[in-house]
Amino acid sequence: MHRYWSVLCVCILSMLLLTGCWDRQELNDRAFVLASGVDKLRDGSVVLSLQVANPAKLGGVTGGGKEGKAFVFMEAKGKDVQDARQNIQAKFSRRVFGGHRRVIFIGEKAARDGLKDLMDEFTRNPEVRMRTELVVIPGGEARREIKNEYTLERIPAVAALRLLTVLGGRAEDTMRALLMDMTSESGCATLPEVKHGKYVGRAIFDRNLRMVGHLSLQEVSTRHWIKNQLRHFLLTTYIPEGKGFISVSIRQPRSQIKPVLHGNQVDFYVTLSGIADVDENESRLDITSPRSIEIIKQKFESMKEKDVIDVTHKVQTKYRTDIFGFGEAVHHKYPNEWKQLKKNWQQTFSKSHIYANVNLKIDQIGLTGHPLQLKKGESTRK
Amino acid sequence: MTFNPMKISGRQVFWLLITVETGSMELLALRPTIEVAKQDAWISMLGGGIIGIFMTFVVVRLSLLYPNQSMTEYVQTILGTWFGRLFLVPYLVMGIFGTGLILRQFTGFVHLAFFNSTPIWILIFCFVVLMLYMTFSGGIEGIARCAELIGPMAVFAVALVKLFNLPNYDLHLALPVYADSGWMQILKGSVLSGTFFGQSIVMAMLVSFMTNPVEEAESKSLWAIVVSTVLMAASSFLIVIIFGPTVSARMLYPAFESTRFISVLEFVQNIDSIVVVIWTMAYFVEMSLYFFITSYALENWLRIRERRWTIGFSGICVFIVAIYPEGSNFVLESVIHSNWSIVLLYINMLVIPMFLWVIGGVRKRMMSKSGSPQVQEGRG
Repeated sequence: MHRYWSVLCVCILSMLLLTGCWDRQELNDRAFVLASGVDKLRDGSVVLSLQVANPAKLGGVTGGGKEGKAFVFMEAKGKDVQDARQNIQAKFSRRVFGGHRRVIFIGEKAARDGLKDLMDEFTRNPEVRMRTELVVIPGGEARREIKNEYTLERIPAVAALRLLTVLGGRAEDTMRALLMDMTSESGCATLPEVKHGKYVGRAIFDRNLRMVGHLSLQEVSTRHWIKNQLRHFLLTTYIPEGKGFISVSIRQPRSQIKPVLHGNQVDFYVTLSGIADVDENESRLDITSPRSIEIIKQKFESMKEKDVIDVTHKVQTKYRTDIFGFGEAVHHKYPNEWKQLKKNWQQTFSKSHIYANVNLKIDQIGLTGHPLQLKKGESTRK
Repeated sequence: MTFNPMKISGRQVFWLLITVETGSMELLALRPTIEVAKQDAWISMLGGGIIGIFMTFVVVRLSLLYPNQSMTEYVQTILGTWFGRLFLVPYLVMGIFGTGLILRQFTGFVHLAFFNSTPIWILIFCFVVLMLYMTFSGGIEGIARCAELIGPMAVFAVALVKLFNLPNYDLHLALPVYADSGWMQILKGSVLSGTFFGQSIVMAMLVSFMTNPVEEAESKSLWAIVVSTVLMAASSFLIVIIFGPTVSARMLYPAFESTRFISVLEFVQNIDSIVVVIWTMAYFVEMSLYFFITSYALENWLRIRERRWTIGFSGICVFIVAIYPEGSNFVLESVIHSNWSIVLLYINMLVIPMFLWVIGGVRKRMMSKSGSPQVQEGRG
């Protein structure tokens, strides 16, 4: 009898506790945030805007005849992000859940004021995952951008995410990169910029996480290449010898930064390498000859070397923010001297000399040798 | 004889130690070690492992002086009844507070990650009830069998998380080696992680339950510590090359965060709930083992025949210790890793066993010289 009662007790206890009813959260009780936007008003208050999935309209791919949108928007003001979230919650019949948030849009005003006041919520909230993309809206407000629809993607938030990868970057990694740059001893963070659904470049932040400037798309690819974060990219340049443009796509881009220290001055030798495939040849050059390949190779190499010098010079003189990881390179090679150098790194960085060297290997030339649209003799064989 | 003469095999001891060490270190030891030794945390782990190997060696050698007695008994044999009992007090305190605080830490973590609206004492209560049941009906044999099953699973889960994180590794984050932290910080990290490796002090009790203590105790336990050391050194290294030393040190549970960070081809994602379930099982084994040992020691110490009373009493004590602390896990962690608790742990894990080893060794030699026949005392 005694045994019977104890077994019964255990059964009842299990039913109460093992089912986890205490923390029951039905899918139907939740509103899934896909993207959120953060703006700052002039009085310092935060405006949070959310793009939330509308489950009734998401459904299968071949839904057909579905009316209405797959997502809804809400925005609210607050003292900080969580306060604004609470105020947004007041407009939702379902509990706002951030575990599936893919993108956080940040208005330029908020970015210029500094991310330090906003960052904390992104990592402290245990619901939220680190695989979140942070995107700055240059010259605009996040709450406008978040309302843009995107034809190809049912969920507009996904579009912003995919935009970043198609041009050879790494997606879903900005949060980690930002945190690491933020806490490193020398690095400055950059965040991608999207405007009207178009990837336009990257915003540069200073050591206090205040936005100070932009990089164009071309500059971003150079910066990514230097930082070893580029996956692939297309380069186009005019070849005077062939009187036309040639485009090559770069794969397996690699980079090496070699710092050389003398006194308080650091020189950097940046070596970029990669394999180039000719994608388009609108010039008169017959690229089947080794001589022409050599011309193309040198042309692209010198062009990229100039790119490296240009972008580093721009950042050194205009913003004085080390967004290339040069400081870390010094840190790794001269760990003892670094302890002194890091104190004044901004100064040292902006005064250091940077030398670029690009080594490309032209590999594939596509499916045609001699351009078919040209008559024999029209092309120049060098 | 209040306890059934339960016996455990050498392989079970091996997995018990692996489960206890890797389970708790993956969650609790990584962050503080990385905080102290930065990107050289892996060196600290190796150093801590060496300390742990030495501690294990001392404890096992000491226990093998009296292979049929557990620590609570041979302390009294070596030092006499009253003095011996006095020496057991710090171990009883360590048992109850250690079990309680680890229980609180872990339930705090589960509470944060999954059960936000469940009151934390319910989670603690469930664990305590399970531990009571395990100790009462399964005893050391049941716990060891669980470890034999759960230990490999836990190691596999940890390895799988590391594997899935393969695309996120960046070796540059571990550079420069040594220069940033220096030997002082690395040593500090070793001393800290050594307290976790020193959990092999449980061998002081386990040896007496083994079927072949003389042949297996030393080799199996030392192998377990060596394997745990390698695992933890690898683990701390891999965490650093995902998040970098600074970010890892600021996260409460970097290993958990790395689990949440996994995204293989946007397909294998959000696997943290599965991993946490396996972690929970490993923690269950660890805490049941501590709880069993504590209640068993209490029984020997108080010379109570009814083990129901000692198990119940230890259960209440552990429950109170676990629900008592106020505030976040971070506050609690600072208590566990504070200097005085590290000193106390080293006294318990190294100083007292060494002292006993010397006294016990001398005593035994004197006895065999004087020609008196060795008295093998039974347990209980």
